[in-house]
Amino acid sequence: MGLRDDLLKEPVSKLAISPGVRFPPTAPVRAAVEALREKREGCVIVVNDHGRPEGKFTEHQLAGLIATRPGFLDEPISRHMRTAWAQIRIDEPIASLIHKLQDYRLRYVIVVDEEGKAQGVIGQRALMHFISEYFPHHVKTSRMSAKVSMDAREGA
Amino acid sequence: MTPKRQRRAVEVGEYSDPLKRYDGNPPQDDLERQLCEGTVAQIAQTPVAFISPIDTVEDGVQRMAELNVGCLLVVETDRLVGIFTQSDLLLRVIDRYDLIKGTLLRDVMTPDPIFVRNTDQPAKAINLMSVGGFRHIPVLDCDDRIVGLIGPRRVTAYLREHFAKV
Repeated sequence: MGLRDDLLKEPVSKLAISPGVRFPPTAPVRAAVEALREKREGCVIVVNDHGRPEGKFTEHQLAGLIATRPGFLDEPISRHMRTAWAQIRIDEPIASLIHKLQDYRLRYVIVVDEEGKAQGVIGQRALMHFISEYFPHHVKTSRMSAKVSMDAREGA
Repeated sequence: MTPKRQRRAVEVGEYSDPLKRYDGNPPQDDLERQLCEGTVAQIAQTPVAFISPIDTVEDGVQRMAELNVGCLLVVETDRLVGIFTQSDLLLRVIDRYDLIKGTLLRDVMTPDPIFVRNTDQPAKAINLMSVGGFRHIPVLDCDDRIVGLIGPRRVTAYLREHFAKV
């Protein structure tokens, strides 16, 4: 089987699902931002008391908020979370994830179990990990820096 | 004194080329073939949002917000000198925005970003995103001119176009 077949048949559970950063709607944006920074994540899942997702807050929203809403860091996350989000069941094929990412122009999709409880978050990075496994020999071996010349001459 | 090791004679037909697996497995389907034999230019996104290193952090944030983009390429005399992304915003700007909004962008950008050539294979760019954790990778031509930007959204769009074709 090749990559195309695997994308169509393999379930989302084969991807590296991040447990995600979860906060209640009352948490301040500042706490969410700190958690994103510490855990190197790009998306916070806002969950209710039953663990069901109510919204999401992503780092993509930051530029807009900084530019237009001074003081937003101390406001509750519920005021700025996106209440329209996409979710995917853990047993759906990876191709469905690709369609959702494209249809809704998303970076992250919330992964839920059969009962609708949030299991984590999955994004484009996990998809890139999955695809890159098919091309172990295609690593970039040319120079990695944008610097045109070396600071010092190589050798003696 | 250690005894000298005797080299064992190689039987006829026993020799095995150690580089025979160097090229890896051949592509299993058309999608794999296109990703490992095509070029980044087929996927790369243009136009790209630019900014100057002597613009301020406030200019950068405003531009990102207006254009609704995740990264700006920082360009000086038509040369790529850095990249300013949402990660830079999260890691270096957001907590002290009021203090540093007048700072020059070159002090908070990521200098000398990783890039790919427009002739590199898409698989190389995907590997860079995966291993390096980069969301956006500038695409340069052989004269170091910026010709595009490749990111996961373009890759997923390409994958879906491929599904639609088959």
